[in-house]
Amino acid sequence: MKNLRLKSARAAMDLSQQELAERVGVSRQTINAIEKGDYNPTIKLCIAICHELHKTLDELFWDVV
Amino acid sequence: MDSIMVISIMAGFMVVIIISLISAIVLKAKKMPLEAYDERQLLIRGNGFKYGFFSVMICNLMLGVLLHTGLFSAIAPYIGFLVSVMIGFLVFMSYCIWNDAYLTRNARPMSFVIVFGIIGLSNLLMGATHIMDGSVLETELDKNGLINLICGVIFIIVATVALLKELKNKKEERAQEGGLSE
Repeated sequence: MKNLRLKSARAAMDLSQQELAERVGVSRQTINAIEKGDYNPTIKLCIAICHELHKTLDELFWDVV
Repeated sequence: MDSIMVISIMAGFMVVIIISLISAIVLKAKKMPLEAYDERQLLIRGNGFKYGFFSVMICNLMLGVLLHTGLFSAIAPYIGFLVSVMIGFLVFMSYCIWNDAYLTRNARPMSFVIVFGIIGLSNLLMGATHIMDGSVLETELDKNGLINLICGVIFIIVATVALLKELKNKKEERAQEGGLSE
């Protein structure tokens, strides 16, 4: 399932996938895979992404039914 | 195995050790971590290793059947084992490259494509030379042009996969940049 909330939060901060990837210490393709829903990141990476985008884990990664 | 062959193998090992030492010194001087894969890349590399390993096992099984039935007697058995190992490498490398997990985060894919392309072409050229002088099916290791041909083909395939993936990534990046600016 695509993570559109992550994509919109990143775009709202005017960050490219490459820039966000560099900030959290992963490759651009990893950010792309998370946004496309092809990869489930570890909690460590989720927290790093949340810190960079000034969001909570719930806001970016909690799947609301 | 004659003395020239032994000296050649020893020289090969020495070159690999020296290049590894120089690479480690350069990486340390640039303060780059030796292990620079992220969590997704490590996961993909693990899967790639598994697929490569099973590919080698399947190839060895097929080779065993072929050797047992005598269908593969025209070529020396070690060539068959070399091919199965190379196929394992090919599966591992292609899988990792296609999932962006072969090179480290900061590596430049184009330099990798160029180096592998040059190695592949030079091996193909040497293999073609052996075909032309008729020594391709000699069974002695030092005269056998098949090894060059196999290495050449494998390196060219890997370089092609890396090139295609790099082009796909560039296209994705352009699309992503376009989407961000909208």
